[in-house]
Amino acid sequence: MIQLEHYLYLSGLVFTLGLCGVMMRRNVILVLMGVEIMLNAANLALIAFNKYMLPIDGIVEPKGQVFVFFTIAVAAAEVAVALVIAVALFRRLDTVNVDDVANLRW
Amino acid sequence: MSFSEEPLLYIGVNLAKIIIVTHVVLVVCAYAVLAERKVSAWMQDRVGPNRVGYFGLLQPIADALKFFFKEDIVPGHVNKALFVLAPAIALMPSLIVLAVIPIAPPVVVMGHTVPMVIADLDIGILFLFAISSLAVYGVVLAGWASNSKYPLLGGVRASAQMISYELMLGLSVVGIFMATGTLRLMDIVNLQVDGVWNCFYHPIAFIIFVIAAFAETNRLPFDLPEAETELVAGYHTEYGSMKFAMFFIGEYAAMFGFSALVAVLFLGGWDIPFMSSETFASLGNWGAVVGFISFMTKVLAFMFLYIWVRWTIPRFRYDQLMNLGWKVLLPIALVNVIITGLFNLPKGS
Amino acid sequence: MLDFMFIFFASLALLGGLLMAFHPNIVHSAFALVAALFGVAGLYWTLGADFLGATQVLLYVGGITVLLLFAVMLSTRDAARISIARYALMAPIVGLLGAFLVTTGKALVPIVRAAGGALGPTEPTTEKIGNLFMDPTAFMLPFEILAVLLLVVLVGAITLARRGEEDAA
Repeated sequence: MIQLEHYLYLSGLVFTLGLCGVMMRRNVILVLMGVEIMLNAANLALIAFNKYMLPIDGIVEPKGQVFVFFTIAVAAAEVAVALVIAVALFRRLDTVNVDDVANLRW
Repeated sequence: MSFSEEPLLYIGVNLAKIIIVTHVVLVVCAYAVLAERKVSAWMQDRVGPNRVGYFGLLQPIADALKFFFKEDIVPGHVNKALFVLAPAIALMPSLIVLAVIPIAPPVVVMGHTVPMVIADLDIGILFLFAISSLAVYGVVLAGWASNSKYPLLGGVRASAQMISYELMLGLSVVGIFMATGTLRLMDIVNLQVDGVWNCFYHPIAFIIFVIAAFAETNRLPFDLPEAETELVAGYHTEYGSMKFAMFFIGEYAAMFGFSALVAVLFLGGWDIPFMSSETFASLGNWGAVVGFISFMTKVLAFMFLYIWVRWTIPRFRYDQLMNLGWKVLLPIALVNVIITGLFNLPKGS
Repeated sequence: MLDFMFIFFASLALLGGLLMAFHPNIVHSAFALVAALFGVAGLYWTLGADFLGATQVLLYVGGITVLLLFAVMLSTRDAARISIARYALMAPIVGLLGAFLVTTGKALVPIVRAAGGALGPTEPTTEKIGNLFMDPTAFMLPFEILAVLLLVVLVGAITLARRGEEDAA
């Protein structure tokens, strides 16, 4: 029987995979993908906790789901700006490798 | 009737619904291709296909056989796995969306009331938009996996075009949610059967939705991803035989899906003017038959509009397409949402 | 049935995440990301969050990842470099973090379980979520701030993209 802990283990594992993506890949866009995966893992934990929340007056308000909705919306905004930066970077420096963008000024 | 009460009957009925819907759609798609060729022929003062069968009616079968028996070529320079996957992904969403579209009033079979929709989801319309937003992957994947310049350009164009117009599609429907207060397509249709069709309540949304539907299905005047005068054949340049046929069927299935969506959201679904839900109920199961015919009439009429427009209006330039979307349709859609909100103000508070 | 769905979607999410992190080809990585996001959407569904499941597919799979792919096609010419050897040092850190997360999860379970609640039948959540957004005592202010944020991002993204264009020209 699947219980809360299974969702939490899964969330932890997925988060770790996202972290691997962020730390090991050097392409800006892939780093972004890793961040998205990590956000998703956190969202999953939020919704799982929401499902097991103590009912107040017999009702469980989906507040955890509201948080996740905010996360998704903010993530969408973040990706839009980050991608514009990535494309601008490519135009300027002809690279999307984060290691090549170590200069503080040029 | 539910799964927990009578599992076998439930599964059987749902399988029957799935099989019927899929086959109806595929047959309609096959004949839509013939209709396209016939209509274009008439508009250009030609005869069109008339060799295979009387009036060319067996042409779709001949076409299908030809596609099946052609050699299945995978060019050497492509990314093989994704190249093979792309046509399947292009076809899949347009068939999945049909699962939530109600096609007729409920039927009574052996004492059970069977709703004429495969899955009556509570969030039907959201599910529908979610799945149809996946259609872009087929095009992008095909463009990238082909590993050649014209398909890639087609794929890049498609990705920008389809997410832009999805926004207009979603925003135009927001007004309907605000007025009806439901995301369930069955409820939206029932409200229209006993009331006024949404295309009269939300005329601006209707027009925006229709325009966005053309862009979403990559049909002329917005077929930039496969513009043959600029990009050879766009994203499916490198495809042949059955894989090409799957893109082709996918395009027509998407047309069918959007036509059905327009019928359900704006044209009253299975409703016939001056008939209420009681009239349909009093006809018994014949009510469902009449309703289905009415629904299909609307869908086919809208598919004819697709074909009509294709052979009438020339293709937009890419910058014109983006300007139209972001600078014209988006503001209009937003204003439409505000106006709908003002009209529904007393209802909410 | 729920167990089966959990296993299916969980393996989708894990496999997708794994391929995303380690596949040398960036476009394959992007499609692995699609699979992973799909898996998470399915898991939302098993948790009774139908609205969020659909939103996840609509926004993440249909929107964000397409944008990512668009940027990949615009910017990346060669296959993405992967430097596992260079970052082998990070493996223990990552492993420790994973273990920490899993054990924290385990430690949290009894606390939440004691408070009650269980995997119950699915009921529609759309209306409840909508009411929470529009409730001045709940999430109305964050909702409005989110709207402002989205506007700022829209303007900012357009400005940044424009400026890049002028520089290139």
